[in-house]
Amino acid sequence: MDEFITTNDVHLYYGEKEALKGINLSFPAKGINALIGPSGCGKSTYLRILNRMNDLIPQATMTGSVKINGVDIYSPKTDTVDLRKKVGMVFQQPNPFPFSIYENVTYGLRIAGIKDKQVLDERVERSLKQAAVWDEVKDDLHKSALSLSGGQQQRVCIARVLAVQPDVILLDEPTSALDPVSSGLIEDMLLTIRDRYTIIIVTHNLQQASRISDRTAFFLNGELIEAGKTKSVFLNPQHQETDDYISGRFG
Amino acid sequence: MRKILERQLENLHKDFANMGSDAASAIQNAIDAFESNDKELIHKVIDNDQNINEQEIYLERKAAQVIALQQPVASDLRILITILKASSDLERIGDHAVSIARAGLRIKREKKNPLIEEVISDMSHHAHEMLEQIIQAYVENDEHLARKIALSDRKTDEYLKKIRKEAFSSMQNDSEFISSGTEYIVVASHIERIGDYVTNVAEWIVYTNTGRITELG
Repeated sequence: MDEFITTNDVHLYYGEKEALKGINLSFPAKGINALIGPSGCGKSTYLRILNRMNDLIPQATMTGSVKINGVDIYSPKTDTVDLRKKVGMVFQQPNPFPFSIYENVTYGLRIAGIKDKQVLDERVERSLKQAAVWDEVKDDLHKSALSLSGGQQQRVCIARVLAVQPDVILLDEPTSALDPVSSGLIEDMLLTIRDRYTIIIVTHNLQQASRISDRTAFFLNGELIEAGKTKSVFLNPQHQETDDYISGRFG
Repeated sequence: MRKILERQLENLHKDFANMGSDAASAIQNAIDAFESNDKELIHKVIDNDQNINEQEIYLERKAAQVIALQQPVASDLRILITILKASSDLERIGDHAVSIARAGLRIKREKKNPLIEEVISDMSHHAHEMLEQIIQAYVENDEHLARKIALSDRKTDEYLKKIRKEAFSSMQNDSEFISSGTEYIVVASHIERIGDYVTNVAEWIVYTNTGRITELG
């Protein structure tokens, strides 16, 4: 496996509490990776270390190394704004800014100093198309993003991430607040962009993980129990804890 | 949620074991029918096969239901796949029992060869024991026993060779043996196939335990 993201011996403490207990985990470039495990197992914490979102939490301290495309993202030289452009994030609750759809999608580009309307227009259309929401919003680009349904808002948020052309997309339970049809649209959309991005998705929906991901990692009590190809993890897990969790014996 | 799945798996497990012991009885009856040429027993084997076929259909339908509604994964899913696949093997064993019993009808008035019939009797007892043991291995989920039983299928192949050789030479020496000799070879081939199906079941028991699809035959 060609490693695009490599985390070595990552520990994360919230004050006294050790939320991640020495995680060694890598991801190849491109494809969908699912992080699964019961609540409080550390999977969302792990996701957030990949674009330094935990920096924003006082009392959170981290040790270990995280490299993306060979670069240590915790080096003092790293510009976190730049990092988060390369490593975008989508959250559980759709969080569009209270502006128009167009302004939401171009937000990151404007911060990056792009003002050329033609470039912006072109990027908006491409991103909304990739996010599978273009047909639904193309005539209302200047309407408030808050007027959209939850499923549409989430796809606009994904378009906002795609617009800055990231390498990595982190998704933290992106469909758990959505109905099955909207969830299905997002799953289909992720499958169409899997060849272009390294996607890491935290999900409580095990069927979602098995349906769409190429690789799966199972976390339990701050530890990585097992990681591998999704088809092996779901048919022939190597650890009893994994078998028990995915079969609903606990969690 | 887990409780429903566990109860359904438990029921399927019992139903499969029952089907296995029915298939074993079918073989025993078929052999007895072949040896005794008892018409009533022969028809009993033929009629009973319908029952085995229905059990297979029942298991397939139930297993498909559990997969659709409970969405099992990992070891639960492997258990279900084993039941689906191995129940077809048991069903085929039932078909071979019918063919053996039918040969008993055809051979009734022919000139017999007691020596060959003795080897057939040994061969059929071996196949019957293989089936009974594989059901035990299934019930106890005993991968080691399953592998051992699969190995013992070699003996079935040796019996077949021996019976063919004896039958050919008796047919060459005495043309009155041609009809019975042909039936002996047919019956021995059916018993040999039963050994192969038992080996398939052994492979599925290994799969349940390890997740690996292996060729044991």
